[in-house]
Amino acid sequence: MRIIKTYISRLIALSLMLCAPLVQAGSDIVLLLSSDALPYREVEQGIRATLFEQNNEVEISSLTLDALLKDETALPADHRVLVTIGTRATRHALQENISNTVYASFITASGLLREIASEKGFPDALQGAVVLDQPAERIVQLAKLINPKARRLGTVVNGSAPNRLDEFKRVVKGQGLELMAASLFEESNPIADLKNIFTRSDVFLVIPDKARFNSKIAKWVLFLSYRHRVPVIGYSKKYTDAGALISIFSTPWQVGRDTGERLLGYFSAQAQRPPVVRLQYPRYFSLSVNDKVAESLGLKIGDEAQLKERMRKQQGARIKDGAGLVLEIVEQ
Amino acid sequence: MNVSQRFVGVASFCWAPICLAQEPITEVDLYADVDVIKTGTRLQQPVMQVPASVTVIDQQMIAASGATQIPQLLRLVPGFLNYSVSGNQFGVSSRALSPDFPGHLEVMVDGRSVYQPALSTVIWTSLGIAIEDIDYIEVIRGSNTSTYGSNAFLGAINIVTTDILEAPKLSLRSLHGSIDTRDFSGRYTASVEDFSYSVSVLSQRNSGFDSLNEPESGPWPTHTRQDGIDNQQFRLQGLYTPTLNDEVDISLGFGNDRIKLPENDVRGYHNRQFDNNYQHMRWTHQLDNGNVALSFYHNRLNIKDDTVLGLLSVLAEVPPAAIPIGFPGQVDEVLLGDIRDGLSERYHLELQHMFDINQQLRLVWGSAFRVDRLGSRFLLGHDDIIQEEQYQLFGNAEWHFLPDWRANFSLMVEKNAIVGTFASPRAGLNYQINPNHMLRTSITAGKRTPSLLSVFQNTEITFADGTPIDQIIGNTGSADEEKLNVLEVGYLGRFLESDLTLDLKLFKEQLRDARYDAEQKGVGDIDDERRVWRNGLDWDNRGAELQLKYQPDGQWLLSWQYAYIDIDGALPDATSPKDIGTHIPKHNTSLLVAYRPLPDWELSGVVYHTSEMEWTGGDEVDEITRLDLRVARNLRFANWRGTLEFLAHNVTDDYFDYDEENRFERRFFVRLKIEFE
Repeated sequence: MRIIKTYISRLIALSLMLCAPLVQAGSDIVLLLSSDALPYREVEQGIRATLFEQNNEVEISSLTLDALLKDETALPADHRVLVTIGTRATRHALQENISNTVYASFITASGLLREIASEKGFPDALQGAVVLDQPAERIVQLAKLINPKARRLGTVVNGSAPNRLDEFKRVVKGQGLELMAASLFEESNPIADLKNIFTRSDVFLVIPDKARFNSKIAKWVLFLSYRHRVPVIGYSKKYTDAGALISIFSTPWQVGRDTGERLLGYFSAQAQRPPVVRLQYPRYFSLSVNDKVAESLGLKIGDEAQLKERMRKQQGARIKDGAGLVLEIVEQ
Repeated sequence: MNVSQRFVGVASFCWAPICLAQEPITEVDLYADVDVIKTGTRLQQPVMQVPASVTVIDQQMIAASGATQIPQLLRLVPGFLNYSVSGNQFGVSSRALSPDFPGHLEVMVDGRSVYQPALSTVIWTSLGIAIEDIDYIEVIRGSNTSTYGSNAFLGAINIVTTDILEAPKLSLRSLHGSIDTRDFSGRYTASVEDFSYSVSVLSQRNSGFDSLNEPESGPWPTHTRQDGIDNQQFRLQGLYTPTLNDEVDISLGFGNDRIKLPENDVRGYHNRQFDNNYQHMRWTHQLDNGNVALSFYHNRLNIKDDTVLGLLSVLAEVPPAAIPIGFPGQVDEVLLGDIRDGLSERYHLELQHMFDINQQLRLVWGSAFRVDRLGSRFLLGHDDIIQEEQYQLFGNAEWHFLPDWRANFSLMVEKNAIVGTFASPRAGLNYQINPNHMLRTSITAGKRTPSLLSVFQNTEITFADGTPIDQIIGNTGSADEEKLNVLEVGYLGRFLESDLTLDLKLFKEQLRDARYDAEQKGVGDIDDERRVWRNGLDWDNRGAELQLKYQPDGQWLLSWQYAYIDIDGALPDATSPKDIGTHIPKHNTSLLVAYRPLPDWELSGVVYHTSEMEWTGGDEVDEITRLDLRVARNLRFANWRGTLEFLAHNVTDDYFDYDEENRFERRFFVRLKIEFE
């Protein structure tokens, strides 16, 4: 029933989105989409469905950044919160000061940090953000779940760019494990460095970087994973489809739902600016398992729902029927 | 206020001025594609974005099919036919005639074309790879001349072998069974310093069709017909990645492939030997935006043939004394025939650049220079080597002009001395209804330069001193490009959380000015008859192709392929014009089902069905239904694993494969594969 209910709410949200004018006068919330592409629309649907389910009195409108650039008056002046969806929209909102209350969503933490570091100083308008990055704790927990005997986790990062290596080192060490890591530079021999990591690792973690770097190493990571029989944890369903054992990620809908819930909290707090601006990791996430890889590695890790249930038990977290398709964990 | 005090939760992120110089990771990076198809446009594209119908035969399908020869796998592609001209000479065709040497498909192994200009076809037994070496096969079902040039007139096949890094340290395989099959292959993988390599060997022996191993009689001496094979191939692959941005792939191989071929006219057989070698190198350099790839390959095939036709008087069914009367100054003598000593060679140098112009527009373009060489006294009528130089300029642009819409524009311009300069464009439009459903349409105007053989062939039977006896096949001295106009509409859908995929294509093709060997009155011939290569064969194809794949879990796999084709055309100047439609089956389908009752056991079966047809170079056959079965048991030990398989091919009734002499009976095989880590 909950799944049906969720689908219905999605349908209603979609209907509302299609039927309503793009921007309504006097909207409480304006959603500014980086583009009209499907992922941004799915975030929008997630936000609308959540707000509709729990507070249908909130007026929501949306527009794309391109529409706003064509007509600056398209953004109603009396909105209460401007929710920016994606990097482009967030960049524009913060750099051009188009709103006094900006809530960022569907952006990476490094991307947001980059956007707020403008020469004009820290933007006072930013109220909070839901980032796309998965917390290191969650990824390491998953690594231990698929290989309870794992003692050494492996990864490589882009040595020429900001990365999360220190964060992962801290978390892995805190879990009593060891992190085998290498920084790859332009002059690195990727196979030699990756072989060195794979021969000493029980599970390999792919920490996402720029798409160019990701694609440079993906092929070698997946080939060596098969050769050395070391499972890989990827960061997207596409990574799983390409050959990772499992991936952990948040879908656009899940990010939208999370954002919607946090907006409700923001409204209930009388829209007071919080003492600190929080970058929230996404509460909802999905897992995708590649059964063929699991079989070739001789692993029996169960399906996504079973894995989530085990993660929930370990975390003591409560379960919500978030997106209606998979059970999701809400971190306390 | 200090920034670092205001944020909670990402304290570990690098936060230094140097970080600001880097473009941040964005949501686009996290949702970027990883799974790719390259054959369609040379661009890396997910299947949903390719402007063509694509079938991918992966390792699971390869194993479940129970196939023992690589071309057999292509029966799992909608609309593709695989046939046995003889026991070990295979043909693959799609939506075209089915001669002994079909030549309208581009076939590549790891991107290297294996088309042989001397025979205008692919010698499947000389590919140099075992079926177990294949990672997957990408097949573009439809003209792909705009991407790969003339050879891809009706489709393109790229056989991708398992990468060195993915391969086990040592793998050994054997196949034993019917028709005296004794196949062995092995692959050893290692590395020296930063250079990874693998060495592969392949040995293949069988005795061909059983039905031919019987004494037969005729106007010539009684003999035994055989069409077996004795094939040895060697292959070396290398991989070197000196930097994060550079990859060098090397592949070298050579082999010796001896097959026996039945000779239909004289009811005998002859030995044909292929000595092949190839060298292929590809250097790929990653740029900040895209990559550049430089590749070179060389294929060489030496053909030796020992066909002895027999005494002229026996062949002509006249007394020996009649020979000097018919041919003054000559006496009866033993005649030799077929290719004798032949050479087929190709050099290919190519530079390709792929890059993004902006977020909406991606481009790949490049240029290639190719030299094809052909030599055969018997085929050409002289000892000179025919050489053709060809230039190619190609490009493909993918324009993501609206969130759900993509347009692809491809163009291949080719130039050679035979037909001058000609262009093959394609325009495609893909509409992504949602992440799981896509509609597409495309228009292609393909052109194909005639094969070297069809332009220069001049085959005649002569006395030892060169005096002509009988003209077999010649040429008109002129040649034009073959033309193809294609309209396609396709749908690709994923259902049940992507467990089920449906690929549907409707197409209309107009082939014009295709080359064919027309009958013509011979001059001074014994039989007053010869054949001449010429343009002028026209026909229209209309049809539908469907592929449905269902994989609900690790236990079940179901893949159904179906093709319907309606053909309108006739051989233009045959004595009695013949409907081409009879040469291509109206219905062609295959169904593969695999089931895993226990983790280490697998049962699978494939049913192939082809409606009645007349093979172009063979005989008229009734509809064919063939069922292959397989039982496999996985073996797992500490540092090795393997698979033991029992294969049964054609467990139902015998059928004639291509020729009424080729009776395909039940065949049984045992295959063992062992891999050491």
